[in-house]
Amino acid sequence: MPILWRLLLSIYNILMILVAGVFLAASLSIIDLQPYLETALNDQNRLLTAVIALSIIFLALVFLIQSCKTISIEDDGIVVQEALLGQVSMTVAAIELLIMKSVRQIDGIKDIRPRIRKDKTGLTVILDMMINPELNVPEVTVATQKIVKEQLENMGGLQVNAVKVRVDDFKAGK
Amino acid sequence: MEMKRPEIANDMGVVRIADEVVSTVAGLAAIEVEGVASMSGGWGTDLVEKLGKKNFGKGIRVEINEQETTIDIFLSIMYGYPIPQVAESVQKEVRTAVEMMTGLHVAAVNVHIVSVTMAKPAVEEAADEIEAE
Repeated sequence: MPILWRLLLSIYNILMILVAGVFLAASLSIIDLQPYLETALNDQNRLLTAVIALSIIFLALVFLIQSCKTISIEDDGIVVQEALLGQVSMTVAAIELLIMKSVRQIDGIKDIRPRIRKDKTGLTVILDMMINPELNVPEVTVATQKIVKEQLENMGGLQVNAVKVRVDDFKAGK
Repeated sequence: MEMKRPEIANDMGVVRIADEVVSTVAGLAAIEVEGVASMSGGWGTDLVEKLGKKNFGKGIRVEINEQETTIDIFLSIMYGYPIPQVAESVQKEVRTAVEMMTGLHVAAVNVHIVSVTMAKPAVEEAADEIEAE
């Protein structure tokens, strides 16, 4: 999802939390909503209230469509190549397995959870990792990014735009 | 709408080829390709196979109409093999085998990689061979 949509989604979520909070407070008789509702629905503010309501409905519909699009991409798999002989595709699960097997070559990675995002230009790989605290984090993450990109491009024939690594936790021992 | 199956007519009658025959031919050709670990037929087919019924056409979906045949292959690849090259070999082998054995015209062989498995280490393979002997 582009950064603008993420920002809008965050604003929408905060707005929904505020609305829910106001109604919760009203139900507990902490605040009285009646004067506010009367102000919002009087002849002077009626149009503005309608515009705000329509904007919220529009945003909700856009987010619904966006979430459905992501599901359909994951279900169809990712096309590796398309030629006269036919199409070659990989499921997201197979790509995740390929990543996990590639990362096994690096010492010190205790756990890894890959996620794949696909757009028109290629793949974005997001890796949540748990690593050995004795190791140098930048070195391990750079090695991971390098090996994942190499393996997906050379072995999988996939176009990788970015490999984003997030070290979630540390775990000592073998 | 049901598609009309192709028929090979001769002096003695008509020959019709079932989808299962095409699946078996395609499956046998695909599994022979180096780098292909196994065909993926879903947990139901795998369970039946474990119970002893070998299904050579598992992981293959065939669509035949009057003019041409489209084959979808769902398979697992061995880790370490380049996927585009293995998939291309599968497409070529399957197309050749199906066209040669059935006389059908194969329009497309779509390969879907559903899993990646580690190749067995050489020691383990040798042990399996000794056990088989």
